[in-house]
Amino acid sequence: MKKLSKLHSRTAWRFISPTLIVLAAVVAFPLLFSFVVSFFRYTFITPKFDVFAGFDNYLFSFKDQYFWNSFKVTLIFVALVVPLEFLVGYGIALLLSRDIKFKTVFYFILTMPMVMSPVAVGLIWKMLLHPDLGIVNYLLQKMGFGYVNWFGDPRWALLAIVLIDIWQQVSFMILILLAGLTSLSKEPFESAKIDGAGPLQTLLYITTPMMLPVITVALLMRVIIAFKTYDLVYIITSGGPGVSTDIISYYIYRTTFMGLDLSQASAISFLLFVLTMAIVVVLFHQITKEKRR
Amino acid sequence: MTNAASRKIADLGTYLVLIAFSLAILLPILWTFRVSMLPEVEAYTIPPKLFSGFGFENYRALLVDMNFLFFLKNSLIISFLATLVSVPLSTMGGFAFARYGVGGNLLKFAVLGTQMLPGIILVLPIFVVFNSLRLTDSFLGLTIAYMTFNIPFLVWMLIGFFEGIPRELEEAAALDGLSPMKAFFKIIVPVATPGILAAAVLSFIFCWNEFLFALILSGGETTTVPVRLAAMKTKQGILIARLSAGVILAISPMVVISPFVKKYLISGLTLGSVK
Amino acid sequence: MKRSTKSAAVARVALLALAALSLALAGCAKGGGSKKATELNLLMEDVPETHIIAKLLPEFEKATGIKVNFEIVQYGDMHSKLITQFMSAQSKYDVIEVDNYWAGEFPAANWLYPLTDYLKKDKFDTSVYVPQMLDMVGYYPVNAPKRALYMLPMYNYTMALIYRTDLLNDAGLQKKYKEKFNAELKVPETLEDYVRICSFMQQNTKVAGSAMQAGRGDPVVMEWTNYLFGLGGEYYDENWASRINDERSLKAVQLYRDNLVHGAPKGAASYNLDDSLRVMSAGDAFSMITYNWMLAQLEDPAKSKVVGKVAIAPMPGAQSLAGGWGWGIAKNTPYKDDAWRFIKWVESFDVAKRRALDGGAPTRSDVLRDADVLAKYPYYALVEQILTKSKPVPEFQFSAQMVESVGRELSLIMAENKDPKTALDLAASDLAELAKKAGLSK
Repeated sequence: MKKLSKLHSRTAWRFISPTLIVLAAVVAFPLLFSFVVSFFRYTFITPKFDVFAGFDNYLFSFKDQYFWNSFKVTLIFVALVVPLEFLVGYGIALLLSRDIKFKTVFYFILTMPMVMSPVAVGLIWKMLLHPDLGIVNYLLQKMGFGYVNWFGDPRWALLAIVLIDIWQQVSFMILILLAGLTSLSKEPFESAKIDGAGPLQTLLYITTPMMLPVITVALLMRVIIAFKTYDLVYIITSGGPGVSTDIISYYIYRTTFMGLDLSQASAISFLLFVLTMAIVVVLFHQITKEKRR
Repeated sequence: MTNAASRKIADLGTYLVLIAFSLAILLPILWTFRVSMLPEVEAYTIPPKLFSGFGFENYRALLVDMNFLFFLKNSLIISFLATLVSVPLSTMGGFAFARYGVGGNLLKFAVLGTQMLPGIILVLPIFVVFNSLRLTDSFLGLTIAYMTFNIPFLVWMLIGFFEGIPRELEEAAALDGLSPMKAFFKIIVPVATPGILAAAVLSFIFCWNEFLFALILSGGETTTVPVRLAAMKTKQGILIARLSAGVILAISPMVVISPFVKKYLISGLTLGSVK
Repeated sequence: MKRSTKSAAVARVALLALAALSLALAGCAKGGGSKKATELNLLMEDVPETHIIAKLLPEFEKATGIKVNFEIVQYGDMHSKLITQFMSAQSKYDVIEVDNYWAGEFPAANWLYPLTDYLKKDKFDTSVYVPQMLDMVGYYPVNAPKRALYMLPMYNYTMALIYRTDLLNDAGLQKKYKEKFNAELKVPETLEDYVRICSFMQQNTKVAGSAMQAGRGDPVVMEWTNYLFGLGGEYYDENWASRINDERSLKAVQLYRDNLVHGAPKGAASYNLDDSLRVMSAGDAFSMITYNWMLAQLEDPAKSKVVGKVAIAPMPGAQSLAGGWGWGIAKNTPYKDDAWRFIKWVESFDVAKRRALDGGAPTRSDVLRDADVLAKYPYYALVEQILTKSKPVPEFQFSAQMVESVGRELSLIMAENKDPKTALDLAASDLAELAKKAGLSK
């Protein structure tokens, strides 16, 4: 480990202070407020700190079968979208970094879904996947595949949400990973070519290890955002059919604005926070362990 | 097989895959465009009569009746302002973390941790504070809020990019007598430009699409595109054709940004490397 | 050196924020007198009624000098946005558009200012309103002897049955129906009749029987409640004991499910209002249980392909689901007097009549029976009947949560085949919890 000289350490703090000040000023108070609220009975009907609840709000969640269902649905959702979006995104970014024509056109098209508001994306896909009047089912039936009850069948609904999310978010992966690929220095590739390395070897032993920092960030960001997803569920399925798409963020939304129970919602949010942080830290260490080898 | 032949096959494969994915992305968007040109009653007609009733009525209703340009302007201003401030701050912050490990892993994860709570929980306290500081329904308020949400992600993103830049560059700069600040601005930043640009684009997009805080913190003067588009989902039915027109209009900034981004991100130039 | 200045800065900011918050929350306590307004702000939903009123606003401005601003958001988001305003020292929105789901929540949480004094002072006659409308979005608590009026009804979306006249009057179908069931094919009077007609239509024509909306949440609850009320069932009894799992509810569930399986489009389990309306407007369903003014939409060539082929009838059975919006005054607005001025104006007979003529959905008998209005919309006589035969879901602090619980269980029954008794029992215990939490039951 390099020892920081005094000069450098001062620079470092100067560089990070503006960021820390902004974050502290805006987010610190709400975070603290929410944390404190989770230990009382603070609702929109009685917005007071009169009744201390200790860990009751947290324990209540554990006794609620629908909380566990949301937990399960969320894990499945994240476990599906993040790896799939990464693999597809990485593949496309690699292809786009090759020496081919029409890059601008491909890039333009592939990054369009990112600029579409998630609410609008939800409504449009709801239209496309309308079971009886949507174009997708119409084409599927014409091609002989039969009718898919996209949002009415519990077995399909979560998958539909996953697919729509991938459709929209893969461009995010492409953006970051392509930027990473472009900023890699050329030398290692030139030496590899001279040494006669094939494309697969280059990919595995040169490109990917060099891309590890960027890949790590892309995955971590995607995991965090995936845990907070609720727009698509809010717009399209409202957690249904049944409870098959009742993702945890939507559960929290309902607790807040229908249950009017900010305390309960805060407690669940902090449980989510702990889970997300745990996964992020573990993921981070797993990947950087590879790097340190 | 000769090298040239296998090159050709690899290129062909590349084009096929890229075309396939581009179609997968493009077709729904083209369909959205089609719906935007139809009268509301034809939007769901099955079997679809592809171009029947094509007209600009929905765009007219959006731009003239609903004054849609006003919302586009608001979204543009806020996204632009927030990005303008977030990117420099994040770049410096990311560098401090990447190079100096300032605050160790704890501070790094604490910064990221601020984003692990769903917005729904933070919205009320933030609203109450902003409201008493008269920051609601103001561009300043939304800009500050958006900065706060973008910076942790951008910082981490740029950490990734900075870690990929060889330290030899700064060591060379130090040998040349440059102070760390100067080395940063003159040597590091140019090399990290693809990453910084990607961060800027990402920041812009986060702001452009953000819904919850725009809904709660904005008012009549600062309503953004996502909020206005969502309002087309009424209890009486969704004006899908008009919404589609709104979506097509809302993609327009991408048209403007893309050529600019292309220059730095995909022309294949590496801006600077170890000599 | 750097560290201490940094932490001092952070501390200062934190103190400022805390001070701001305490100020804000403290300000919630006092309402204060009324100031003179130059502008009034309202949060509205993007529906035709809003635009109809918007067109008339310049007249209000001319008469009073007050400019009225409409801010338009989506239904679900209105609730969130209003709550944040109510929790602040001063609400930005002066006149509040209140949906009947919130008509219990808002007064119970003390967010609305009662209209009693204003009504007395201006001798505003509330008897012109259909009484069921006032119960739906007016009085709180609805059934208590001591109740106050917090809102005036704005427009209604009470539900009824809309059906295809061409199919019902088709000679061939009538013959077939008579042969099969030994009964006339006519507008159904009981729910069992309705379900039977729907499956008949689905089997003997190319269209679905009923464009149902069984999507989780609002859609399924709104539609199913018509079945429940049609059988004389209810959510709670007078003592706020939950009745959602008694025999009438179970029967309503069974009938609803029958219809969903045999009389509705295949995708109906996920439909919301928009989805089913699309099916109905495309001519792909025989009937739809929906808002009474959907008839006007279905008669609009710009939106429907079944123009001239639809009619409206009261929901078969005892009662249908009442719904609607009302005008209220935010407790924490400084412009209460002027807020009342707006409400008085927009609910004056003259303005209410013009709104109705322009396509609005009236809530008052005087407008519904007006000769000009009836000339333009002859079926409004029927609508008044429908309004009197309706009742809303129970309105209290947790109506929204109640709808959510019932909606979740109904969706589980319909889409995941959960046992109805188990599901309704769970809903009933949720509802009992909510009534207890609201202090309405022991």
